[in-house]
Amino acid sequence: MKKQTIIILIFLIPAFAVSLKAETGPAFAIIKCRIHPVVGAVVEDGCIVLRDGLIETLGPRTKVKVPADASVFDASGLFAYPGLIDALSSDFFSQPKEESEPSPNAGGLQRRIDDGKHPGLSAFENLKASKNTVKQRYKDGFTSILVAPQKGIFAGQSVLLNIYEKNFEQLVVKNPVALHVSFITASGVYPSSVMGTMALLRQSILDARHYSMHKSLYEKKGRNIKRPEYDPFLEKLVPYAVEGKRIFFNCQDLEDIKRALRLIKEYNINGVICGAVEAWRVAGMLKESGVPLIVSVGFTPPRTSKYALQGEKMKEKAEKEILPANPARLYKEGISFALTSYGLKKKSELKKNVKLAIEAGLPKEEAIRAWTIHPARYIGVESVLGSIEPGKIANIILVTEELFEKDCQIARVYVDGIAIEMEVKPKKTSEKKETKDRTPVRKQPVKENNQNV
Amino acid sequence: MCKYFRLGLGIILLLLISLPSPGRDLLLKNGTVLPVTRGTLNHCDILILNGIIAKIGPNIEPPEGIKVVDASGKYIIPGIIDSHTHIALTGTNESSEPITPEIDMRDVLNADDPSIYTALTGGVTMVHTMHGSANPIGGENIVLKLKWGKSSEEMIVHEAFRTLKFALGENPKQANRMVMGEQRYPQSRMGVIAIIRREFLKAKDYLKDWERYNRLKTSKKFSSNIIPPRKDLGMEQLADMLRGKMLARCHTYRADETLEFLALSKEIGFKIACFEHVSEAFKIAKELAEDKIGISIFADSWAYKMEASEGIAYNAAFCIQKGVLVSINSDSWERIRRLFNEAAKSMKYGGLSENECLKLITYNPAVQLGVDKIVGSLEEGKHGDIAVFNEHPMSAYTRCDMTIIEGDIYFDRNEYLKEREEKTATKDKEKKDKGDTNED
Repeated sequence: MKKQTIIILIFLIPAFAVSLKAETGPAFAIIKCRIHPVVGAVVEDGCIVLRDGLIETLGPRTKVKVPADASVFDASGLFAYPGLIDALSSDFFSQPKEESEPSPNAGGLQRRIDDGKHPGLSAFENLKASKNTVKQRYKDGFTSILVAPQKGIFAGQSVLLNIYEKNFEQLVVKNPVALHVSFITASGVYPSSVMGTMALLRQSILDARHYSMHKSLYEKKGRNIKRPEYDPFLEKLVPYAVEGKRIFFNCQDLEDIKRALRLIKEYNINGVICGAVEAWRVAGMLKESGVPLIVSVGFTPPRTSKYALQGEKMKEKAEKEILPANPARLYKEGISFALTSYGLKKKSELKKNVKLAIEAGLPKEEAIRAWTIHPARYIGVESVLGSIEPGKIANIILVTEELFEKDCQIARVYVDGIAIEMEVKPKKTSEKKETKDRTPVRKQPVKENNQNV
Repeated sequence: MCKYFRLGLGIILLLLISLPSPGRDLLLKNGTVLPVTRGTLNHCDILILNGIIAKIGPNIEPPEGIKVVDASGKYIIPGIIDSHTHIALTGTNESSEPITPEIDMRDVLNADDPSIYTALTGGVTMVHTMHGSANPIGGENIVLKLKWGKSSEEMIVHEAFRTLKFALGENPKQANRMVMGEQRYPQSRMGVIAIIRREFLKAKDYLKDWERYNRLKTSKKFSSNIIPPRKDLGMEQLADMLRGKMLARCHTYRADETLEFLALSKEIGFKIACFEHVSEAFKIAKELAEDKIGISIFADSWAYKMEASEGIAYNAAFCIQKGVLVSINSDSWERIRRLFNEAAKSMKYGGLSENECLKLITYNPAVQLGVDKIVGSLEEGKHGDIAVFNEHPMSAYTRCDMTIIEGDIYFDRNEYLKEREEKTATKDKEKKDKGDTNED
């Protein structure tokens, strides 16, 4: 019964999607592949039609009519998944150099704060192209990436990009996505301790509220109200601290998670918890809070954790067994989460660590959701990314095996509907495929100028 | 059907909650009990039910299914309380600024700190873990029970006084002497007291601003054009000091500056719970006793810096005899393991009785922390926080064998040694096996 409804729905959606479409550029069709749409049932021998960088329709090949004008790609033997999303990364980001400021010492009266200027730091304005990163990201199946500044307590604002070799302007999916906050300290100036950082965060949120209230009252009435002193720091903080835009909290040990949860609860913040390699230890609190979680697959125990403080053996065990079980344990607690490569010691460890997490009991299907629809939801782009559904952005990967299987290789990547052919090392038994369609294919993106990815 | 199932589940859950959890009941049999607030009880049992001491007396019949610990030949004392330490934290000082009352040590608890376990091995069940002494006005301290393995929230003792750390003398003056570039104000003892006074005067103004606003808010003249004052977390803390909701714990060494701070507290109107270290307390014991202000000190360490040069080992005993509430603290993750040895030094230096010495690390710190109603002595109705020693705890040959908090055993020397032996055995076996294969 349920299956039938889903199938009926699958047929209904394209009809609406087509009728709602505004532009009609050339169409491309990927046929004979097995489709894992993430949202909805798996389609054997399927067909996906792309147009204008969007997914126009999909379904079994017998039911989907390939448009007459479409270029067709025969993907027999391949599996189609939505392109993976890395929900936190510093790839493509280049930290701007700061000038050190003279520090006034007014009899201990004037507080010197290091992080006043960061909430306004935009990742988008500090992007730097990297051809190798694009290549590596495609190899791991990624088509979108949240690029976030990482330095300072208020690190700055992130941008969600599609990964391709184009001007960054054309790749932005959402900007800004969130303000990124870390429980770290400044050096030599306030705050030089984590408790100082918490105090600074609390005071900043309170100040933003006071400022926003004062300002809106002044703007409403003007007369008879002393105008608020213009504060560039608070101006940048108000959307996040008061108006409900997302704040991503970078959390190392489990106490960091609790700190974030406390702030989120105390000040009613639209918060997301990132990193959180010890999240299972506070599963109860996380579940109760309902705060979205972006969990790292970097399995190094945090410096303050018991797994780092009780000898080398414990540390080793934590890296190999205990921390890799974090996602599986969260799953068993009924907590959904996105995964992120942020926190990996080496980028090349990604596949190995995802495998460790799956071996520790994380179902593959859940791992796929944690790289697709969940990050899309937490970043606030669920309506356009995270699954193969009509009307969504045509970010699709074609792979040689089911995703996260041992020999799985990325054969083709579609970003905004544009195909990138990947090099597939031939298996001993199978022959290399030939491409038959006329989609604009590039072997590997060529760098045009330094504004490019 | 589902409804009934849920109802049933609810009832079962309720029953589970209302029943005492199995770990929290314990019977200690046939020990020498040192209740601290009264004389020694030989061949005595202690029954803990639901974490609370239910009965102390001879030959208590064990309730069904209860865990029984044979304490024959052992000494049972209240869990040791360390009135001044910095363990179980991920930070100590916010030393970038001299005035940081907005700091709350609750924000940096670390339940994974191995020092918690080390302290348990010395019979310590409760600590007052504090902001450091880098700032004239530091941060808010916190009282914890050392429930190793539990979460940091479960360790917090909510019954304790709220306390704010102050510091005088060399530490706040020289807090950033190692930092390159300019140095921080204040650089002198005059500056330290001046900056504290200034902050309290600011806090008084802050309170007045809020009082004015609150008065206006409730009056008929109130208009929506009136903006409330800015909430300042540091000032809120000092306002709580002025309201008597929080007490000062002040790090000090010299008699003169201690008296100066005492005078300031009267001038401004805030309360002092306790002076820390105060190695010259014996010079001002009369004043401290009159104002009922306690001291938390080291037993016999002094002259490790200029301002500690006039310390004496008789400090604790002398002040006790003058009626001052004295506790011996560790201020260290290492000394915390042997606070009983530290306390016993006052038998040699000053001739305190065994029980008076024991009080220095149990009942007295409990009073200083405001938790004497629940811990600090072995009495029916108090928490089952207990340390078991193989010999009299004031003996030089003693050692702690078991540490219990609210009826749960958190440290058991026998169990620990057994575990360690097993571990070593398996390790040796592994080594041997490896060695054999290598030889092959």
